[in-house]
Amino acid sequence: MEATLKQLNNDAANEEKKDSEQEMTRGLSPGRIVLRRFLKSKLTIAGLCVLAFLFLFSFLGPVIFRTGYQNEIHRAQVYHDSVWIPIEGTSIRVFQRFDESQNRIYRYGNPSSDHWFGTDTSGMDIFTRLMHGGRISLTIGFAVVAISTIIGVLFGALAGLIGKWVDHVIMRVTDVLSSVPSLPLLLIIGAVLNEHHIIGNIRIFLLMGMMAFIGWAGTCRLVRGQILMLREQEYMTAAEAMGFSNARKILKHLIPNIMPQLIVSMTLGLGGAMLSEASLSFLGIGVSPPTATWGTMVSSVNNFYHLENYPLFWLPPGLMILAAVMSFNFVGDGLRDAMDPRARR
Amino acid sequence: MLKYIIKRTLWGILILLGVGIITYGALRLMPTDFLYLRYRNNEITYETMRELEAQLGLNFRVFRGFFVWLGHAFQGNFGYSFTIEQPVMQAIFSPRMGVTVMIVFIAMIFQLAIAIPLGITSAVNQYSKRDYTITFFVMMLFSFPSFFLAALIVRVLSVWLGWFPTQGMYTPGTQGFVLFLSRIHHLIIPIATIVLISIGGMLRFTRMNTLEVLSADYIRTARAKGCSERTVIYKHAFRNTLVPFVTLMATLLPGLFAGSIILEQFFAIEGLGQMIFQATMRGDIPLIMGYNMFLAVLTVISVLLADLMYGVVDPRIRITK
Repeated sequence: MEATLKQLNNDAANEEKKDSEQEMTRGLSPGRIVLRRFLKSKLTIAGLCVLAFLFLFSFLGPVIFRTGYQNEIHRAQVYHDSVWIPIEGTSIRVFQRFDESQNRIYRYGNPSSDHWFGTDTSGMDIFTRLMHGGRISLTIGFAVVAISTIIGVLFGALAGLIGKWVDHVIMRVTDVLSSVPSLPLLLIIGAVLNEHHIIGNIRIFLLMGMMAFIGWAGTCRLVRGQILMLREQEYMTAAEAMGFSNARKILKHLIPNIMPQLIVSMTLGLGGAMLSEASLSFLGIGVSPPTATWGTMVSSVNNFYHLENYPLFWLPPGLMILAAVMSFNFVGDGLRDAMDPRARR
Repeated sequence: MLKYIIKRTLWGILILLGVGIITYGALRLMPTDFLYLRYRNNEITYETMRELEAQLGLNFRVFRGFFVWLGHAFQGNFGYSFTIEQPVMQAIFSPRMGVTVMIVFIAMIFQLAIAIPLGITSAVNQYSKRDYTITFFVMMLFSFPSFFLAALIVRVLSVWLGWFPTQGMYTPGTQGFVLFLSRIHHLIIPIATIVLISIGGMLRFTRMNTLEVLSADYIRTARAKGCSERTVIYKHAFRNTLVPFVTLMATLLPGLFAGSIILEQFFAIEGLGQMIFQATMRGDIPLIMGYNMFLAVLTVISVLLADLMYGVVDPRIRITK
């Protein structure tokens, strides 16, 4: 009984809160209300901050901070008379003199002021690669989502607006695409790229294209569903009655109303795209090794020796992916809560 | 109802055809396949290669080759896997499948056992501190790349603390009960990883459902007639939150099979995922086709089942067409 009373009290309190929110938002435009709600969630703000940091780190970092190339191999000029060779967790100092010290590559380097996170198996600076890798990882995420959204919106709008057989055909195609086992298909495509020895930027473009090709079905369904729903709304009937042109109906009335859902699904899709890039790289069929992405860098866990002895090889890039995906998810969630008028706090 | 099932089944076959075309098309983009590699390594003669190719329709171009494959498939003949050296169906429905299914199944039970209670507490105490903590960790868990989480767990529990073995399925040379124990010991980390990775989705799903149920009229009625909060939640709300799980379980299944590729690779578990990864890397066309079609059939059936089950568990939903 007491609990029930408490609950009722809570309900009453919630009612009051609702009223106060309505009071507070009176006179504001819908956009302002959404922005206000969006900024109220602390996790969303945190997500935005982390994303801003990651973007600055990846895109501005290499410009102003370290100007090295991502594949620059570091020669050991300073370390020419002794090297630390790690054996089973402990390091043994081996004294050697190198006349041709210029040819010595500084592999498996420990963290130092030159190389904050040390150097990797080929003597490349991990910190520099982390920045450059971020560029490609983030770009892949954005490109995949952008392409799949464009395709999805186009076909979804066609299916929703024209209907009849066009709708049927497009819906069956999306059925097929969502029944295709996506990871095995990407495996096949990765193997094809491997066999053809396609590396570098072309490979990245092809991978992005394929991931977008597999991923557009969801967006397409979303857009179609929204359009079918919106078509029945009274304001669309009103637009019809006023004799507006099709273009005006689509641009002024349909698209702005689909936008909220679309933005949310895009934000959440970004995290997903970055995760699939990482998985593909882990399996050795993603971006090819000399190019740095966070995914390829983490994939050094494949080598058990690295997993055991060199956490700096895979821990920082892994945390970067985690931070990025998590932030995208938080921001996406925040956007959804802010834009959904039913979700009142 | 029967008409609906028949119609859906026919559509399902059409979808499978589409999946077959896409997979086969992608596969035939490979410049080499397993047979050619064998021939190049002088393991088989040119004549044997051509003969085997003719059996599979690989001597034709993509289009005709697909129909040769399709013809065989309709007769239930999915060809012979070269990497496993077994007929394809035998390679798929083998002890490997047992391994994968067992792991997936155990992981699923743990997931349900953890996700449902946590999801319900999270929903009942919505916007409380506990809810925020749970939501935060859930978000974190499903933002992990699965192999990175696996690597972290192995690094901490196996390498650092030395509690668990790092890879493999059992300690060689053990027998009987000890073998059984060593299997459990080896599978704890892989299963824990799967549970942690996929618990997020289920937990959010439970939370969302419970929130929806809690705002229903019959909950208000239950409270109004003086039921204790405990009765309201465990008797009235809990049962109804389980309804959508029927559909979720059906759609999750195919995804779990595909997801096992990465973790089986990481933990060196000899299951279906590892088999298909090696087959793909070596261009074993019959096996890849067979496995992908198997997954697609699973998807189509589970979607159909989910739709049908929805009508069964929730009588308000009627199938009209």
